[in-house]
Amino acid sequence: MQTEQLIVRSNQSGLALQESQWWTKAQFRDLLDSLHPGVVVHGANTQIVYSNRAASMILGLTKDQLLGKATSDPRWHFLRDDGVFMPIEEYPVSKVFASRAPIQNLVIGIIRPDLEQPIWAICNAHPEFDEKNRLSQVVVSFTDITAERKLKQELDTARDVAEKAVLTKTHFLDVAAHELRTPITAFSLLLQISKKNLARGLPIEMSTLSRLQGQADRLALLVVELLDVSRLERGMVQLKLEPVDLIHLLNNCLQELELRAPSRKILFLQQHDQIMVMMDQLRIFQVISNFLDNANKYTPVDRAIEIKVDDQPTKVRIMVKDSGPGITKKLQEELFNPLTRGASEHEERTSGLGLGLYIARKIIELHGGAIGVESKLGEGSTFFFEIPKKGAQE
Amino acid sequence: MSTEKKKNILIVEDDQDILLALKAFLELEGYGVRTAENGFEAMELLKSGELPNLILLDMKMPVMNGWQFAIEFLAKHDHLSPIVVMTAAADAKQRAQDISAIGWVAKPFELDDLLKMVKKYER
Repeated sequence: MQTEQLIVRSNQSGLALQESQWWTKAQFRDLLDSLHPGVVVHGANTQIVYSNRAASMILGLTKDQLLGKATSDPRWHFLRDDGVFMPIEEYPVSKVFASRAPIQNLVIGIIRPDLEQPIWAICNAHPEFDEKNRLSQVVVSFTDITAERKLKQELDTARDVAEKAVLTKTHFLDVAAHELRTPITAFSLLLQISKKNLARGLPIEMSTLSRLQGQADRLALLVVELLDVSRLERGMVQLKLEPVDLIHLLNNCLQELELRAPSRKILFLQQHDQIMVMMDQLRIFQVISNFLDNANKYTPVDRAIEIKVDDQPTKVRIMVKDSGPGITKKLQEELFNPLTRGASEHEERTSGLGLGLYIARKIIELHGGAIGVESKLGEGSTFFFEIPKKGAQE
Repeated sequence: MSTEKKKNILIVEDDQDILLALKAFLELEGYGVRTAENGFEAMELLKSGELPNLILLDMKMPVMNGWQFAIEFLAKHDHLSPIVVMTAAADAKQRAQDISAIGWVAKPFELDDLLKMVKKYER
């Protein structure tokens, strides 16, 4: 502010004489050129009559290029705080000339012909008037805040990510509570009806006890899933790595599936007798079982599930192909995140929390491997994972 | 039993154990009970016979959920059968308002509380 006053005074003959007892014109120039903010002075005809060194730095134009320019030079563009192009009538200088009122702390972006990214600045503009109250000049000062603004944007982004994570967690808790309440309700209602029957002298039937057992098992599974996710996310799961024959493990998984779905057709073309891999066999069993369960759930009863093993020099790849409805590209990306299922929550209802593939992903990542899906709508899906074979030779 | 005609309840719920317990209980209390495991089955069932005196409706079901069922039912039969929502959602009351149901019970609930609800709203 003070600087602007000094300049003005140097232009107004009476006062300038007094000041010049301490400040020569060259000293004024040096002082202004040493300032961090850019200073540009527009004369009454809007053309630039003075600019300091910082102004040249911020605007990307030499003093010679700046002097004599009017406000509407088409080589610069200004942006509003929100990043939208500023129309010329909103330029600080234009506004001050039009309104004769100062502008304070306006954030503007400056698009320079030589830079890809805009420079951001806080801008102040002051009108000065002569004795007849005519606008004689406008003093514009602006401070580069590009670095601060970038930092703020990064902080905003980080905050958004954190807020989204909290929302996801909250949503997750809602879904978890909902999923837990359903078996609890069934459990409670079966007990209540049994008590009422007993009170009337009726026996508790074996089938009711079996149903209670079933709901208790379902609750237990949900709790195991929840604990698994919690432990995996906190990095509390330690793999018990040992050399394991993957083919043997795969056959065990398939036998288990046969118990659960005896009529399901399974195609497994076994090309290898044995493939030794370092792994936590309980965890890999869990992943394969999850793939098989999903395939079983989404494949029509009369169709087969296909299993393939691709033994490569450094890694081994397991593929489970279903002939279900297929998965859209968008859903494929979300599928390995928590709480995703093959339909929105209102439409479909399958047991479980929709955490299976997320848990599978975490387990495979712990093994240093990769997990994914290839799918086309109407043509079924192939889920696969691969884990490295390092250090597991027989 | 009284000579009065039995009141009829339709239960729409995809959990078979919940369905079974509710049916047994309401039959003990002297109601005629019909059941459906999703909204679509319920709409099919309503094509014949009288409209029920009350509908107990779960919201989250496969094939046709509670929301879709309520929309179809109201379009076809207006409010001729009062609907009571049974939901495990945190915002049970809101769910009921969403489909302009007359009442709601939050899962898990007491059978005796449900009975009060049924007696209060049955047509």
